[in-house]
Amino acid sequence: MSEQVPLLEVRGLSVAYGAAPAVTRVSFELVKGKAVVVLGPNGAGKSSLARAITGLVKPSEGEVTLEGRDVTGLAAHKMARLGVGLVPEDRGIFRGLSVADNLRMAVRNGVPRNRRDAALDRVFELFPVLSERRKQIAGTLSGGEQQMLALARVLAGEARVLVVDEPSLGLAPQLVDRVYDALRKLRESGISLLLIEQFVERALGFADYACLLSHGRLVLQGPPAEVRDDILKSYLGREEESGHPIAPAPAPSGLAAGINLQTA
Amino acid sequence: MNEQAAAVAEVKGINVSFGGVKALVDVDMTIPREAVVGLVGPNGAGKTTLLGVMSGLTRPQSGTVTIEGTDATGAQPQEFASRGVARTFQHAGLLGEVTVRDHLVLARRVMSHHHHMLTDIAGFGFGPQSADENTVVDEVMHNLGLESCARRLPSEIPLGTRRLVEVAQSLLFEPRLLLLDEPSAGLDTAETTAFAKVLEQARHRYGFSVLLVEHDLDFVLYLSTLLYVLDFGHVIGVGAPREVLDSADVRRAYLGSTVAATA
Amino acid sequence: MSAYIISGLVLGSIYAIAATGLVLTYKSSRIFNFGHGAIAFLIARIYYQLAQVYHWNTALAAFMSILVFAPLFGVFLWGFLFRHLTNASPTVRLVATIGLFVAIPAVAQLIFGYDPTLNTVGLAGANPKLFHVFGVVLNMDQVLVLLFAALVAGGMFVMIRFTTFGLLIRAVVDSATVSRLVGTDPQRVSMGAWALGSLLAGLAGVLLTPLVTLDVDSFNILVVASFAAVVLARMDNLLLSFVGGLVVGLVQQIVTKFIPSDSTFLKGVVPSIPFILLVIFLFVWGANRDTVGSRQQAMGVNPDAHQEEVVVRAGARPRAWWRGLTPVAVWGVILVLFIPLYMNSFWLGLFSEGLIIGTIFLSFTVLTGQAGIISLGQSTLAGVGAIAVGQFATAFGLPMLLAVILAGGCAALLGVLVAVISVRLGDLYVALTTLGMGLLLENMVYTIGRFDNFSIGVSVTPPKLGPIDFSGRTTFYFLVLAVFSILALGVFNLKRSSTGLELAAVRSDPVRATTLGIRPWRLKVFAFGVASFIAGVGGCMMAMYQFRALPENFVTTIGLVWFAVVATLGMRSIPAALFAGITFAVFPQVIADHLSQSWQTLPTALFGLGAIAVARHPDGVVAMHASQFRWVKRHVAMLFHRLRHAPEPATEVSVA
Repeated sequence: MSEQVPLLEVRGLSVAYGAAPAVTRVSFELVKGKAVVVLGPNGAGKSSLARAITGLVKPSEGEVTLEGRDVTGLAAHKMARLGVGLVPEDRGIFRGLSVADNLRMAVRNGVPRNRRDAALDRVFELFPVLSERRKQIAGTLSGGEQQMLALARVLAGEARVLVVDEPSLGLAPQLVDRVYDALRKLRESGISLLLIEQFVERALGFADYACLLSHGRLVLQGPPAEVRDDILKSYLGREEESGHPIAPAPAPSGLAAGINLQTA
Repeated sequence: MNEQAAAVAEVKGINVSFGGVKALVDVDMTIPREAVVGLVGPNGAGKTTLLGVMSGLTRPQSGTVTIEGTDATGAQPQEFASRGVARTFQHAGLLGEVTVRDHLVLARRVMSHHHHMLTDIAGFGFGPQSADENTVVDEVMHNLGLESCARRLPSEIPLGTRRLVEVAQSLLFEPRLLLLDEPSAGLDTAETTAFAKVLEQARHRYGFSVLLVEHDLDFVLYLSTLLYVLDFGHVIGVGAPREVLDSADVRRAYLGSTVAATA
Repeated sequence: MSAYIISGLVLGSIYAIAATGLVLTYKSSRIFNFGHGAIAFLIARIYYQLAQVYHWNTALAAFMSILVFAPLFGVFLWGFLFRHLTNASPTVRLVATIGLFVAIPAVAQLIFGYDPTLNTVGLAGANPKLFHVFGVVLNMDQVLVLLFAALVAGGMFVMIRFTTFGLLIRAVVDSATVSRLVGTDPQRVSMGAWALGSLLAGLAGVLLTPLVTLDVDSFNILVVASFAAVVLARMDNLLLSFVGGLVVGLVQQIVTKFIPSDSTFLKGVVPSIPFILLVIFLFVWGANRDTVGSRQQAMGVNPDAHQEEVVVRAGARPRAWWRGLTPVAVWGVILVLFIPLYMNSFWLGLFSEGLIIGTIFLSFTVLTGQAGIISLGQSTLAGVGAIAVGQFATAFGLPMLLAVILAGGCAALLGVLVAVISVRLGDLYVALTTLGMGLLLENMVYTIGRFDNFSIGVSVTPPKLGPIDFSGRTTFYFLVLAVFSILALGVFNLKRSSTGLELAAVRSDPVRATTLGIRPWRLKVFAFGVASFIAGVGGCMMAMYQFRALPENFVTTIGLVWFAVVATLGMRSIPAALFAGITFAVFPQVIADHLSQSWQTLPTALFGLGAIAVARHPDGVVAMHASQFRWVKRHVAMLFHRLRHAPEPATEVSVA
C-alpha cells in the first residue's frame, strides 16, 4: 500500500471529549480508489474518528492530510467542499425536506452549475428508486431508501473520499447487499472509501485494508486475509483466566449448545 | 421459592417507541438478588432506553415495571430512587463547585429527608443533619478508596475516580439495584480493571444487584453472572454470559451476516 | 364593528410583521431575541431623524433606514454577538438579548437626544390621504400597513418555498449538522436570517410610528404583542406567527368596543391585551406539551440544553469558610463605620438606596444564581411589596414590622403563583411569563386609584422603635443595613445548606438530580417564593426611603435594567449583589455630577452592554477583568524582567 500515493493520511490522531479520551493516537492511510474499513466494537471510538477526520469535531492532537495538504481541524463544510464526504450513523439527510431538495442542497456546493444536471442524472441512474420519489419527504422513506439517499447525497456532491459510518446499521440483509453493491460501484469509479463498521464479515469481504479499533486505539491493521482471525477472536470477548479480564488468552469456543434463547 | 420475591427488579412486556421508532419491543428482564446482570448489544439496540425504564425516566407505552415486588410502572424517578434504584449516567454529572465529600453528603441528606427548606434558611442547615451522617459518609468513602480526594473538586480528579464518586453517591441510598451506564467508557484497561475490582468489593459488602450496560465485553464477562443481549429493541439472548455470546443469533448480530462468496 | 376590525387588522399587521422576523431568527439560530422590539425602535428613531429632522425625502429615508441600515445592523449584531452564542446555554442567550433590550434604546437616546418626538409622521407623509373602505375611513398610513403586511406574507411564502435562500434556511433549520456535511456554513445562513429579521423589525417599527408616540414604552407593547404571536405559533411556524399577530391586534381592538368608557380599571385592560394573551398562550402551550421530553419538562428541565461536548472548567477552590469572611469584614467596616461617619446626608441617602437595591438584588442571587431561573418581574414583585406595605401600614394602620412581613408575604404568594404556572416549561418561558405578568400588573393593578392615588402614591413613614425614629437619615441607613444583613444571612444559610446543595444539583443536571430523589419543581417554586419575599421586603424599604408607595416607580423596564446590572456584576455571590446595588444607586449620580444632562442614559447603556459582554464571557465581568488584569500583570512583569537583566547598569528606574 505504501507504493501508491496516499489520498488521505491520518497521523497520531486523538480525540477527547473534555477529560474523556475517545480516540488515542491513531494512524493509517487511504489510497486512491481503495477501501479501508475500521472495525471495532461499540464505544471503541470509530464514530469519533470519522467525525474528527471530516471536521465535525476538532481533534486534540495529530494530523489529517488530504493529497498532501494539511486539513487537520478544518471545519466540516470546508472539508465537504474539498471533496471529503461523510455519511454519518444517522444517515445525514434532511428529514424534513424532499428528496429533490436534499439533492439540490448537495450539488449547491462544489459542483459548478454546468455539471449539476449531469451529477443528478448520475445519481438517479445509480439509485433509480430515488428518481421515482423525488417529491417525497425524506423522513418518510424506508430505512434502505434513506441510506440510498445518504449515499446519493455525497455522490451528487462529487466527493472524492467517502467516509461512511455504519452503512449496514438497521438494514435487512438484502438491503445491505444493495448498499455494498453501491459502494462497490463507487470504488470502481475511482472514489476512495473509509468504512466504519461493527459487522465484521461483510466488511472484511469488501475492503482492501482493515484496521481494528479498541478503546480508542488502533490495535491491528493489515490486509483482510491476514487480520481476519485475530479480529474475530477479539470481538466476542476472551476467555477469563483467573478472573483477570485482560489476560489475552485466545477463546477456543465455537458455537455452544444449550443456550437459553428468548426471542421477541 | 416464589420468583417474585427472589427478584430485585422485573420488567415484563415493555414496549417503548419514540416518534415512529420502536426502541424496545416486548422486553422481559428479571434481575435476581445480589446478581450482576450484564446488558449488551449493538448501538441503538435500546440499552439506554431500558435503563431509563428501570429508573423511571422513561415511561413505557405498555408493560409493567416491578421493583422489590411492588408495581412501579409509571412512577416518577424520585419514587424509583426511594425504592432503592440508583443509577449513573454516561456523562459523569458531578457538580463543578462541590467537593467530593459534599457530593456524598448531598446524597445522604436527600436520602434521609432530614432537612427542610425553611429551616435551612434559618441557619440550621450547616453541620451534619443526623447523628450518623459523618460515619456513614466516611465509611463509604473508605470502602471506595476515595478518602484521598475528599476535599477535591471533580475537575481535579481523573475520570475513573469521578465514576467512583457517582457510584459512592448511589451507595448512600442503600440501593437494592444499581444501574450502571457504560462505566468503562473513556477508561483504559487498567482503570477499567480497578473500577471492576472496587465495584465487586462494594457489591459483596452492601449486597445490591447491578444492571451493567456495557460495550466492553471483557469487563462484562468478568463481572456478570447473567447476560442479556439486546438488538433492535428485542432480547435476542439470555443466560450465562459465555454461552450467550457464543450463540448463533448473538454472533450474527455482532458480526453481521456472512457474505455468500467471501474472498 | 367593522371599524374595529379594520383597525385591529392594521395593528395586527404590524404585530404580524414583527413576529415573522422574530420567528425567522429564532428558527435559524435558536436564539429568542428579546431585543427584537428594541431594534424596531432604533430603526424607527433613525427614520424619524432622517425624515423629520434632516428633512430627507420620505422614500429615501425609508429606504436607508429599513432596507440599508436595518439589515446591516442585523449583520452587525450577528457578527458581534449572536455568532458567538451558538453553543451557549439558554440562560446566557437570555442574558445577552435582555442586554440588547436595555442597551439599544439607551444608546439611541444617547445618540439622538431626549427631545420628545412630536408629530411623528409615517411613510405616508404629513397629510396622509384618506380612503373610504366598507364605510370605514382609513388614512394612507394604515393602508400602507396593510399593503406591506400582504407583501411580507406573500414574499416570505415565495422566498421560503422557491428561492435558494429559502432552501438554505429550511435546510439549516432541519439540521445544521447535515448542512455542514453538504458544504453549507450554517453561520452564513444565520447571518442572512438576522439581516432579514432586522429588516422586518425595522419595517414594523417605522409603520408603528405614526400610530403611537416614538418612545420606548409604546414600543414595549409591540415587543410583547410579537412575543404573544410567536408563542401562539409555538415558536415554530412562520405562517402561524403571522396569523398570531393579526389575532392579537384584532382582539385588542375589538375588546375596546366592549369596554365602557367610564371604567378606568377596564381601560387598563386594553393595552394589557397582548400581555394577557401572552400569559394565556404560554399556559395553554404548557398544558399541551405531551412529547417524549415532557417528562423532563415536568421536572422543570430545559430540553434545549446542549450536551455534546462536555467541557470541564476548573472551578475556584473552595476556601475554608472563615476565609470568605474577609470580604465580609471589609464590607462591614466600610458600611458600618466609614460611610456613616464620612458621608454627608445626601450621599448617605444614596448609599441607603444602594443598600435597598442590593437587598432586592439578593432575590436575584437566590433565583438566578442558585436556582438558575431568570425572572424579569422582580421590579413588579418589589412594587407589590411597596403597594402592600402602603396599604397595611398606612391604610390599615398595622405596626410596621408586621406590615413589612405581610407585604413580603404578598409578593411571595405572587411569585409562587407565577412559578407554579411557568417553571415546568423551561427557562425561556419563565422569563416570558414573568415579563408578561409584570406588564400585566403594571397596566391593571398599578393604575388602581387606591394604589396610585393620582400619581402621588400612598404615604409611608419609616417606623419608630422606642426612642429611635428611623426617619432620620443616619438611623434609616442603619435600619436598611440591618434588613440587608438579616436577609443576606438567610441567603448565605440557604447556599451552604442541604437545600443549597440540592439547588446546585438541579442547576447542573436536573435529570440526574431526579434520579437522586431530588424534586426540582418543588425546589424551584420554593426558591421563587423566597426570592419574591426578599424582593417584596426590598420594595417596602424603598417605599420607606421615598416616603411613599408609588407604583410607577416599579415599572417592569426597571426590572430589566436591574437584571442587566446583576448579570454584569455577578449573580452568584452576596457581595456581588451588594456591590451591584450600590453601583446602581451611586453611578448615575456620579455621572450626573460630572457629565452634562445629555449623558443621563449612559449608565443604563453601560449596564445593557455589560450584560452583553458577560454573555460573551460567561465567567462574568470580574473574570473578564481578571484576565485583562493578568495580561497587564504579565506585561508589567516582562518589563521588570527586561529591566533587571538589562546589559548596562540600571539607573534608578521607577516603573509605575
